[in-house]
Amino acid sequence: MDTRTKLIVGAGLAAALFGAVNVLTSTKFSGARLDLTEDKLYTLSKGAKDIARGLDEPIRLEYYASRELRDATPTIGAFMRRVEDVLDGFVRASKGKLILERFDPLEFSEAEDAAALAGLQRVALQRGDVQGFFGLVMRNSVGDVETIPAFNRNDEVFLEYEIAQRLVALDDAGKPVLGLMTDLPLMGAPAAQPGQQGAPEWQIVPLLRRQFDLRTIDTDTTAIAPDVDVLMLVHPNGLSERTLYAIDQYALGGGRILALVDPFCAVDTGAASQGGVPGGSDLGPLLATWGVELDVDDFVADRTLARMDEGGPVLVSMRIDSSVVDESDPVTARLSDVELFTPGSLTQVEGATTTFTPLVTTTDDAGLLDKAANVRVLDPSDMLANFVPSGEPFTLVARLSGPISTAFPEGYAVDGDGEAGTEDEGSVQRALPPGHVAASTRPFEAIVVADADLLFDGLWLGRSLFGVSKLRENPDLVLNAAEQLGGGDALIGLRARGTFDRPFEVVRELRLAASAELDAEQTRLEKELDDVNGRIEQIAADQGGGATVLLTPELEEELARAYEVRDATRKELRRVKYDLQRDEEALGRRVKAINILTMPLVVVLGGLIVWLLRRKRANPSR
Amino acid sequence: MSGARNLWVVGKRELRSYFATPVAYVFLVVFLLLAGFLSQFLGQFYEGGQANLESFFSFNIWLYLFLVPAISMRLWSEERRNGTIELLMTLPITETQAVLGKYLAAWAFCGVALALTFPIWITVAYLGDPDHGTIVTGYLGSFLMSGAFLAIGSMVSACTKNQVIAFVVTATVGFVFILADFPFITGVIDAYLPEVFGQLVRSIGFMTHFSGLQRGVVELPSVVFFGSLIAAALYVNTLLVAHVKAS
Repeated sequence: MDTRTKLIVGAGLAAALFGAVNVLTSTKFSGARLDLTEDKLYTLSKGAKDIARGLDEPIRLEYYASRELRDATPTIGAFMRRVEDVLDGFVRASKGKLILERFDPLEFSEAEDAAALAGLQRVALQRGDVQGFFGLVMRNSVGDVETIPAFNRNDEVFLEYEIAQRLVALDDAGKPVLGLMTDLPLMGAPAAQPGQQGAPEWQIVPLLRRQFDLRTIDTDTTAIAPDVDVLMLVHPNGLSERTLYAIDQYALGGGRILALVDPFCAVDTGAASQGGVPGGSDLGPLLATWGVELDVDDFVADRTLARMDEGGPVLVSMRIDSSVVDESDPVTARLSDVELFTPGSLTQVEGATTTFTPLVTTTDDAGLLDKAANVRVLDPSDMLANFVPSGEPFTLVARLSGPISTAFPEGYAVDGDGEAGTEDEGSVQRALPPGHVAASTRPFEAIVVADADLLFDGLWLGRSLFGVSKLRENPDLVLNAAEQLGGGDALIGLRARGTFDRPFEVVRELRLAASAELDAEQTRLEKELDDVNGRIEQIAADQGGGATVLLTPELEEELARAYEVRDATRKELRRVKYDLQRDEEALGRRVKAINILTMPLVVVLGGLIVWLLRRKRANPSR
Repeated sequence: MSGARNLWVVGKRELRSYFATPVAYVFLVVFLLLAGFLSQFLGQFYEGGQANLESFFSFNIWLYLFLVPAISMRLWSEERRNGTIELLMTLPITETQAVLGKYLAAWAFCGVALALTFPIWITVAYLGDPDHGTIVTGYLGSFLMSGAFLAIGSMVSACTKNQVIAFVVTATVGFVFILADFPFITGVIDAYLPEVFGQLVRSIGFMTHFSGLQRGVVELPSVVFFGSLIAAALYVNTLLVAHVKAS
């Protein structure tokens, strides 16, 4: 074969081989990848993979992303790529159970109508000239639909959780079962006498019903059905040992617990009507077995978090904001305003077998107030006077997870009428039913909230002529917790992921320092002006304080000086403002200069040196 | 002589020829000035406020489109025009060794140019807390991409004695690879040709393969793409050199 033929055949073969190899790898090995980002941004977490892998039925994902939005700003484009990467990750892990369809809903297109019909929100950029869709519709085979109306960049760290949680909801036939056990009148109360109106159910109930198959469980139950996904205990009190045993066995069998316990539940009308100081929640030996203790004699007060009214902080009320919540846990991360009333303090008991993770704490400016001495105090300022901060934060909401063993190794106490056994152990007969479980078969999972009042409408709901509106995020805390506990192990394990947002810290610090300096300068100016005004008033008073004040030469001079001082200070303020911006701009200029000019100059210099050396070598006499 | 030694000899001869004239310095200065200018002004590196090198890497592809052909155009055209190719072929080396040696020298030179942009890495680490893994894969991707441009250029350069033609043809072929995965191209192909053509064209787009690496993800299809493109182009390059030598 001559070289020409060789060349033609070889080039043809090389091209064909190149095409074949690339089509093959891009279709068959598209998932083979190494994620070298610090937070493994482009790798699905194990929990999310497990959820995708465990899907029983196919789920269709309709992803709507308008090209106009993608092209509008680099940040949106990058966020869209991130969302698509996460979706692709789910699809890959699902082994064919997830079917992803992508749509670019152009104006007046069928896709646009479909997106709007499915409940997606039209997203508009801040500058207002670009609009489009950026959301997800998920459908299972029986016609249930879940949507993410619009992906939000602020929720980027929970992207995986948002999708996983909806997949779990679509994969489970029907809603998860939430068992509610409480003596509080959550479900409303019938009229006490004919002709009177009964109490309506609390507004948290319809919210729970919307997301769960809500079942009320009597407080004297003897067994909790294993199909209850989450058992929600609200201010449990006076439960018989038989019922406590049922809860114990339910938890050991893998049941999830959401317990709202309280040292002082103000809405416990039953207790209040009996007079005296109502007792705290009582779960017998269960809390200790689960590894947590509630201080029932004191409630926690926090000066920094206390609700403010005209008289100052109201210590019985606490407003939880984003500074005291666990930002990596999807249950609490996005809470910024939850109101609690006389919450209790949770601590881990010694020798606990579970791990104790605080989800909501107080600030350091918190302390304990004796319940008996303080719950009848009506004047907030009296309470404030007695308050001593401990300097340490208290835990208000905690997650417990890990193995547990039974609180009733010998079974529950029985006596003649089936009520709880007496303290006298000698006379108590114990029953150990067949099928008694002594140790948990799978890790126990619970969330304990040290306040039950937060469910009460008055704490989070606003009523006006136009109806009711949600003022606080109290329901979100409970719904998030119940939803996560009901979603299975994989969902419980999902936490916040990393973000690609990495701002220039140095610039931010410059800005912070600048605004602090500016504030200080402003305060100084205002104080100076106040002083000047004070001086003027003083002179006026010294003049005799008549109805008309004549401008004496002293006053005039003082006034002129005051104006001078004010002008000078204002000028100073402007200068500081300018200087502070100048720092940031100067840094920008330095960055540009260094990155554009340094290395070219170094190369030029290096070239010159080499040239000179060569010339010297070529012509040593010069 | 062993194969590795032959490669080293050819490579050294090539690299020395770059620095014998001011060409190498001029190239480095132009590359560094443009890379800095594009990332700082068009890419708004500082104003963007993000501790990553996206504004730098996103312009690399356009820089290579014009600057790599400037290196590759002389690889074989010049040898052919000056007749030094005959001299080269009298050495006891194979065509493959000659092609690989010259190519590796040129690629190493590209690597030096890329490495000299390190101040931007230092800057970003000073200003914020960048993800260094992403930066490493970004540089790796950029280097691989320059190698792909260079392999195409080397092959084209062996086709002609005219360096200007080599430059223009290389830039044009490179442009085709850049445009391949642009939606308006793939859209047309999907509309009129069977699916496999669309897949083929999409799979050869430089942008897609580079964007993964730029984000910190090393994907097998991207590494295979750049690797196989370099291998195929250099193989054809070897056949071309053999053909030139024979004729």
